[in-house]
Amino acid sequence: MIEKYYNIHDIVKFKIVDRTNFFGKGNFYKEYENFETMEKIDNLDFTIYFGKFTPANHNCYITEDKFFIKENYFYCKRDSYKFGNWEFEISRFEDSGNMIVHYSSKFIGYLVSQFIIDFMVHFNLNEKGYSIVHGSCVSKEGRAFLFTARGGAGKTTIILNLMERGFNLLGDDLTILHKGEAIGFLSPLNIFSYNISPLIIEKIGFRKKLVLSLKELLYKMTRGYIKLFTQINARDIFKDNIINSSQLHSIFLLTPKESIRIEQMDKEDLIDNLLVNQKLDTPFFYSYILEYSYIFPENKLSKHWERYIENLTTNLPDDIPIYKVEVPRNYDSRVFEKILQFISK
Amino acid sequence: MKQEMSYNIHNILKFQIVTNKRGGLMRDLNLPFSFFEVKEVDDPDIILNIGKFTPSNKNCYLIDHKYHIKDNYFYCKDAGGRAKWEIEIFGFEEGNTIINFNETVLGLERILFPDLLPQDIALKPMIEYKLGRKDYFSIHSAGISKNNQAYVLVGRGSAFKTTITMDFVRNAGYNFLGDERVIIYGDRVLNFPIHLFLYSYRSKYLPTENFRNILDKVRFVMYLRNNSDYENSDVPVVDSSKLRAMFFIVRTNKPKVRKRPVTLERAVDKLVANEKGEMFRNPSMNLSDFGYHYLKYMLTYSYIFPKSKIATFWDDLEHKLKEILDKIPIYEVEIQERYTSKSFQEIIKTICSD
Repeated sequence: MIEKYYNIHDIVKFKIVDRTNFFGKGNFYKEYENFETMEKIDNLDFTIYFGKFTPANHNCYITEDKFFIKENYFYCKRDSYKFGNWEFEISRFEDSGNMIVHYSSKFIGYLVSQFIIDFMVHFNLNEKGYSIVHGSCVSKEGRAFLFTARGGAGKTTIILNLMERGFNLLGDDLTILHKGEAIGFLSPLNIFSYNISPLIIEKIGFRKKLVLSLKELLYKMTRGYIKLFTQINARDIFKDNIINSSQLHSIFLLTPKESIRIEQMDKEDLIDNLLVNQKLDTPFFYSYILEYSYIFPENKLSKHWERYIENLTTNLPDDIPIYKVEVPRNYDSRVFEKILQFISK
Repeated sequence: MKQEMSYNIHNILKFQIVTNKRGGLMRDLNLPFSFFEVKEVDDPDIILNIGKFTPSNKNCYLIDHKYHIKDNYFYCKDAGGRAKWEIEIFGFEEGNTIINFNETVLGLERILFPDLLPQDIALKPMIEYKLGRKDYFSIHSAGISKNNQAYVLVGRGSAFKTTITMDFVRNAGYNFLGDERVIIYGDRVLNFPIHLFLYSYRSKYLPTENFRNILDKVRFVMYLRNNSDYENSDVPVVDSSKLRAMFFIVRTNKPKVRKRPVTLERAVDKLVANEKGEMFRNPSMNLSDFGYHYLKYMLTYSYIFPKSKIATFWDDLEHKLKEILDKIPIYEVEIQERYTSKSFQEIIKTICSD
């Protein structure tokens, strides 16, 4: 049995109890390894148990023949995606703190278990008034720059480039926002052949390079069905260039089109964008929330997205510049030059 | 040889399906909207072309490496379960719509119902979107009526909507409006039968909607081979009726079931959750896993165009439903996890005593 404690900037704290011996869950431990702590934590926000469990699904409403729902309780008997399948149970999410999650899967379904932990973290941040956004963030001289986008817009490419120019890293994939401040969320860099930079090639070993090429081969052979990123801990590479928080200075929404074009946009549109982005990143829970809100439309879990909008409205300052940036599909130096221009404004 | 089929839904929405494929061995399953088939239509709101095409995806935004989006336009290559497809939609947001769809499906389904996937993934949601934009709301529910009084039974999957309507029709003399969807317009409920002969077979031969064994399935195939005349189906389909009441049917494993009134606010929240939730369910014949494709397309489009009519569709739906459901009684009705002959007696008592 493995027991691990995690503390995300003293905002969200959780524990994982792993009663399985499935070897493939390594990815999960990597995802949050920068928040792992050796100390035991008492006031946990949630605990996740991996392994077989007996659901307490009596006195429930049943939808789709597989979701069991009562106040403060959600159980999914089975669900699957591609080659994975799972069952899970969440209870006590209407209270503050101490939520309990059970997750069980046959074999390979543990590979996708990430989605449930991510959502629990996001849900708890949201409940505490913090906004998690899909975007990378760097900072220089106490000013943070957030680059938000869907996949394929070059978030990682841009921040890696900026780091070569002396910027510090807060987060590559996700960033927490709170009352005008950007707070780091250091998940591993998801590296694939298209976003690897010289800075990284220089610092990773031969083994990782080999793995990268093999994964690209697999991607091509399965015509895109199997896409495995290589995860590299930013802390291993950038050590001294990582900071925990910084004042938000400006935001860039990146969308790939033909060539570089930058225009200002308003906060309200950005919030719409961030909300859609978050929903697209959370497909399973987007669906589970809908099942729950069909039964209990007024409860906390059902109000998750409304709360997300409220938080963003508070956490994003009214007076900072927000830019909509159309970027070309392949970056060249002009893109970076143009963005740098707007950063130094 | 191109085959062209025309449909007219209550003179509100007209569409065409153009396909190269043969009709499939099971027409009712292959063409779910056959109830609305007509000889021809002018100026169709939607044309669905099934087969190879060359996309016009120049000058697009490219999201997540695969969604090509520009004003009123959507294109992507996608996959799920045993299917792969390529889809292009002109008039995604407004105006007349052309959907080009080319798919590869592995397995028996390819022979049995070759044209079903594009209708499930794209045509169905597009019809619902367009009806909604015209203030005709396609609601995921069953509908029955008697003496021009319609009862709408809303339920998530597995709430026995189909079984309940079957019993109302065959045991209590009610007419049929739909078992998967009905259309609500003002204070009227319009029929919206989908896969009508599947329903007809079930109500003729099965105690509940579930097939009991392989024999049922074989008999069903035979039944479909012999029945294709939608005008003369045995189901007493009525064109429309006045909306009398709405019931949310929910299955429970609680020992005691109850019925209680629902506020308008709560009812509308539930209806919208039901519609969105439905977009996550598998396409009907399990051709594709985690069937969230069209909702994903809508979300991705909203990401680029946050002020578009697609982006505001759900909020608009919520507001409009609030207006039209204001005057009718709405209840939640709990039913036991297992459906027995007693279940129906309880349901009919509950519903008819509103």
